[in-house]
Amino acid sequence: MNEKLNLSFWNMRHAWLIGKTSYLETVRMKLFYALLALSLFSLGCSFLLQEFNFGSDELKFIMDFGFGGMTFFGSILAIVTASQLFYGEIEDRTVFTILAKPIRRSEFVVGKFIGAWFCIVSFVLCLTLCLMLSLFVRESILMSQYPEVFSEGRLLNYLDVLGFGFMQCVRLGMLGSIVILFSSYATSSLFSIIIGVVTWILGQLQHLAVNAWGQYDSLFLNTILFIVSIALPNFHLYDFGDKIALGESASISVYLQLVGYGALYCALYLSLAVLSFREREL
Amino acid sequence: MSYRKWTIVVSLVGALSIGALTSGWQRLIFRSLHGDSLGTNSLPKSESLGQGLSLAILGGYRSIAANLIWLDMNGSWEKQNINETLAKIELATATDPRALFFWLNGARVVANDMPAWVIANQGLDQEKHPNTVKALNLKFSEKALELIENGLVAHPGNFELMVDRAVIHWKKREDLEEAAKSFLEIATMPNSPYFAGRLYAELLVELGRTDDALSYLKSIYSSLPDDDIQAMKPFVAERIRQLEIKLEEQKVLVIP
Amino acid sequence: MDIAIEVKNLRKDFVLARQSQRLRAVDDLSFQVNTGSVFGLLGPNGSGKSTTIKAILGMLNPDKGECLIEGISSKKRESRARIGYLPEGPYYYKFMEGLEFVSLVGQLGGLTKLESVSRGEELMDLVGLQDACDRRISGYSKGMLQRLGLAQALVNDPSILILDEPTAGVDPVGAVDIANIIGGLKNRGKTILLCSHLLSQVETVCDEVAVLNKGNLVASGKIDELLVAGNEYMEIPECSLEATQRIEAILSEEGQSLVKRRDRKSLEQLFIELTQEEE
Repeated sequence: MNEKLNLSFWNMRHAWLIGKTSYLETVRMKLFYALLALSLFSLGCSFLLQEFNFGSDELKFIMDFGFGGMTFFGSILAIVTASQLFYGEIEDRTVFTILAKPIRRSEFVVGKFIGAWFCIVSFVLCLTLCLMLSLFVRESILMSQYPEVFSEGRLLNYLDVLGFGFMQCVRLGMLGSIVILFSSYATSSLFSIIIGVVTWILGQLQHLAVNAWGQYDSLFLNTILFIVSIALPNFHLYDFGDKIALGESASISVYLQLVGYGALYCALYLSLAVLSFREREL
Repeated sequence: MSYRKWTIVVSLVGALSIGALTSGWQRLIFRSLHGDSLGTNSLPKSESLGQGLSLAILGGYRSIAANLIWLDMNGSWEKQNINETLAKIELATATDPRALFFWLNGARVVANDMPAWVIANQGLDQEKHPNTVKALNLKFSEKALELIENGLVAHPGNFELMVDRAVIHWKKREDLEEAAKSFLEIATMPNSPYFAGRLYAELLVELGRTDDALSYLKSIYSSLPDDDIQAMKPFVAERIRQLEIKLEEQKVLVIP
Repeated sequence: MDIAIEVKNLRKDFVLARQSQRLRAVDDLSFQVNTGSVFGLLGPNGSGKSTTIKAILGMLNPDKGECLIEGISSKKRESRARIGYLPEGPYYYKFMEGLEFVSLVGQLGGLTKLESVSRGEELMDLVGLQDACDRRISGYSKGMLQRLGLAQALVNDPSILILDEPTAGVDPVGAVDIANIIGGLKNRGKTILLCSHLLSQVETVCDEVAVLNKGNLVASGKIDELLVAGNEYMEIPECSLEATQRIEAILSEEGQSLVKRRDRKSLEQLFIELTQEEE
């Protein structure tokens, strides 16, 4: 037995190694590049599709495309990678080699989350930087064309765009942790992906359930609404891209609260995933 | 109970507990971001669900989806297909409620174009069939006003929507009382356009309340800026003078 | 003699998916593997071999009984620190390079990155994959995967090796190489639990075997003892014609005759000779 192996305490190095390997797996997946390419393509289209824009100004239109890529393709990536990294490992039987080593199941769960989250961060960071570049270029062109509109300097706060990107990482991290929780119970990766998609949509509608709860005569419907409104996190809190598009900033306190809220839910779902996976037979 | 079932129960209890504990926090964060605005929450349930779903699934791509729906709506508009046009206007506004363009132009299409299509298709004449034409205008005005009210939920206090609401009451429903009320509502809001107050006064005159119109114009006159051409201060002064003369003449007519 | 692995009264039932019935995969199984020995776990498909191995590795919870690794319950994580495991299949991260994977397993077992790379290189050399260190595992043949599996199982220098079908999919020459490596490991004092369908190989390398059928232990013990058949034969070395005739005469007086047999190569031996000559 190797003396360097720490068997007494929770070993962050194990989680980190599994996370690093999982991250490597995700960024070597074709899906990652396909989704990134689609998102960047759609961002490029925002320049070409100005003719189709009726509802908003140019910069907001570009921002909509960038944020759309982060939330839409980001959610797909979060669900598929979390499911693939966790349940896929059981399906592919690669888990046997890893769990035959003296590592804790909790280290494995946290490692998988680290891998999925770093993949999400890489994806969102790429998109955020490309979006910022696109906005900067377009805003510079508009500044030269309409100097009177930009008499007080740039309209957009680019730090807020970066902040929004980071908040999407938090939101998608929460979604990834839920998928890991479901994968720890699941008997097929399709099941965890479907449940992940349903949770994504319901979490986005959670605030509506909060309002609607108790307004129906049906006990069944009210029970469903109660569960959705309480048991799921409110993903809608992270939809503040419109404010940024209008040049309004969110305060540091709000950013910190959103990070705290996301971290709390990630911790909850990962703890439950560990609880479920600890006794799971492979 | 098997371990698996036990963990499912624990997961549900854990998620419910954290949800209950953080519900107040969620509201606090939401208020910090969006103020006390209710957003889509105060819309009818089906519409708020539609908007929530589009946001959930499409995220930022809502705008392009809504734009495509609007483009498609233009085809229905050209064919003067009322049901299709209305459905697509509602779908575009539900998909991206943030775009004021859809609410405003949607309401205008419903209030102005749709009754005109029916009148033209049925060969109606304003002179010969005044009641039918009025009934049609009323019917479509109600729908347009409903659209504007929903638009105001998504864009609280938006002047453009409020002006359109007032114009529909005035021109389409011929309800001068409601129109005046609407213009007054606009005029009393901070940073509102100056013309709202002037139109309110003119509608009062139309309603035969010249003295009320005069009092109102006098009350706002001093607050109008001298250097803003849009405030039209000299015009208001002239109008006050005209109304005073009118009232004097009315008094002379009344006193034998 | 010390006991490396002890399986005591192991029972494991599985609930069948569509029925409320249970399938007993292993029933009251007990055996011991002595330190430094090579132990073969034999049985047809579905006999309970994999279930037993998973229980030893702590991946399954026994319904009854227990597994001890050098005296430590397999439910405890510490027990796995002593084990190197080559899974059946084997299934590894296809997106990784061979040496990269062995190094990862080494690090999970407690080695530093430098140590694991250096040890990995040695082992890749040992298993004959020195030229494939930097190749993606997705491009490995089945035989190469088995060799890689052996390398990763050995990377932490475990005292106990559990090898599940180590020669499945490997050509006879490769199988001999692996058998030689196993022999070498045995000489270095490693305890080896071997699951294999290749009975000739088991017979060559194992000291003891346990035979399972339908979850039950049907035979166990030392190979030599288990393979004793009814008749005892005497072997006469090559001798002169005269000596042979005298023996035949003596036997005919007893009403017996001399049975002559010629040594016959196995097809496997012939294949190895031919392919090694080619090389």
